[in-house]
Amino acid sequence: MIRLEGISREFRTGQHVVYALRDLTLHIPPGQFVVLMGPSGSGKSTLLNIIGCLDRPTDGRYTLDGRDVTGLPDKSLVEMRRNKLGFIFQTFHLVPRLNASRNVELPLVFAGVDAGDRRSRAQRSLESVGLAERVTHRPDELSGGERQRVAIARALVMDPPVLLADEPTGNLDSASGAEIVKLLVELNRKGRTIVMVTHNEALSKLGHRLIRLRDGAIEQDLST
Amino acid sequence: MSPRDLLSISMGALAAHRVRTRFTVAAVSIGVASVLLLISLGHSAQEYVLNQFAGVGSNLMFVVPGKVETTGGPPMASGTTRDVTLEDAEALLRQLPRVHRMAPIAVGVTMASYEGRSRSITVIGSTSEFVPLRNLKVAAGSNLPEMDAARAMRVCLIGVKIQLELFGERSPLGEFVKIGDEKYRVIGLIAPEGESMGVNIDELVLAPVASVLKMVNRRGLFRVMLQVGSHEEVREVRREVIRLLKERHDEEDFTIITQQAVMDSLGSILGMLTLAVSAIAAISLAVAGIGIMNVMLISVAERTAEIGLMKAIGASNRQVLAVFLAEAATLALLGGLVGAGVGIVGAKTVELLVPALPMSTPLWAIESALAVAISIGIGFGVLPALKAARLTPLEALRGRV
Repeated sequence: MIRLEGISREFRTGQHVVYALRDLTLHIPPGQFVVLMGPSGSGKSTLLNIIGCLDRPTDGRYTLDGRDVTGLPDKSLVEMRRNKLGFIFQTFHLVPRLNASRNVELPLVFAGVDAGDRRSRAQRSLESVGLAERVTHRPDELSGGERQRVAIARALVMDPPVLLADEPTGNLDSASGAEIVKLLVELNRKGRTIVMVTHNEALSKLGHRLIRLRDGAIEQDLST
Repeated sequence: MSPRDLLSISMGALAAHRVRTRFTVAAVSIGVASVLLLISLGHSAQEYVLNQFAGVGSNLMFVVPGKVETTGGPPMASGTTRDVTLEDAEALLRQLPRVHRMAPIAVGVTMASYEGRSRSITVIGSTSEFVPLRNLKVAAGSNLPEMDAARAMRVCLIGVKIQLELFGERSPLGEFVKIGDEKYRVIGLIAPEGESMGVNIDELVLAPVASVLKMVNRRGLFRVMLQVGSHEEVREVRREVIRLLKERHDEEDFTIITQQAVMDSLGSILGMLTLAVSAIAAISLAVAGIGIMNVMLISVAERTAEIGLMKAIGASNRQVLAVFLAEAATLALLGGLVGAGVGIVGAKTVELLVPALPMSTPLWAIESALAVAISIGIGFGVLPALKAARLTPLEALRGRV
């Protein structure tokens, strides 16, 4: 599903060149749940951004779902993000002025799905994360856990094969965090490939595989 | 993304910042309203002045002795030119089939008196055609008799003010009034008309042209008034008149003034004036545009994370651009609509305060004011929107709120 070969990513800030990723090679087969850990600055966010087609590697090749995306124009990267990838963020990134349903509908709006269809697909997606009753609530009327579930519903609404989660429990209390984790495991069981970045050691054994990064390279790659 | 989605996204974003949105809308509406108000004012002034001329019809032309190079003004008096005579005038009517009506005009200024009362008057010498050609009405009695224009009959029609001053409450019909050295019988009363084209009809005395020519001891007419079928024919008939008179005079020692030319040049002067004043008002629209740009830049800065999110969930650069342009355009359109309302109400208020100036806001002005407002919104929205569209998703998401 995800095939990274010799990926490097460098950032230039004035005179300095910082290597966020160095010659990294990683294959993730379909249906795998990968937990990505490492100290800050180890390159895990950069890796997630590259996998998510939000950033381009300076060097190396990246194939997603059988398609080489390395040299694709921005427009095609948009297509990949639209159809292959769902994002979940630590801070949810919900649009505060839109209710739950409208937030979930956003990807469908950009994909050009017509309004009637959008409503029912958003409804189904919210039901699948257990928020059928909260459709018309706005983010500030929802708890943290509920907000993250709205975000997950949004990530699922285009039915992408890959889910990318950046510290999905980082802003939640342990009870809500546990619910979100349960939800992710369930989604993986139904066949979705998941890459989750976390600092939380308690979650390290959650997936099939634990990858620890240090200084832009893989330090440890464990089956769990 | 459908236009409806765009509109709903931008309205949502604007509603989230009511105060800011209101101020920007107010700025745009002030600009639009002032442009509209000034256009209305100019337009009404134009209409008012042109109406003064419209009473005389656009299918009229005047032959004036003497030659001037420019159109639009009466020719300067020139001693060497030949007179335009009654014979010339009659030849025009007889030989040019497209000249439907003709009234020769002679003018004299003299004294009129009746039973010891007297005053100075302007007497116009013409034929019975003068009354219909100038859109006048005979209020009592009759028009000048239809007769050979060369006949110097001593009859006259008088304006209401002359009647009042010379006859008081008495009916002047059938009475003899002394005009110059001769006595004229009053046969009709001209209906009140007031000032028209610089002549106060109410103070006029109208007599047969031959009588007035004799009175002033001249052969030459003051001018000849011609009416053609419709104003489309004016241009061609003008050429025919020139040809015929040149034949009779051997040279072009006369000038033809068409009503159309006068109206055109007057209209274009007023139009320019309106345009200039509106352009000054348009500066306030430009200021409003800068306001829009400012608000949109703030909006982009505040919503960096949202822009990143849009891109992460599948918005293309073009869609992000469209979202922010739509927001700027919506802001401007709201301002435009409010401004149009204020402008129209303002014009009506002016009309109430100054009844002599009937204000009308032309539809094209409203349409173009709205179009200009939207283009200003889009024009000044481009910079912030491009800024948003060019954010890489990564940078955008890092600007976490």
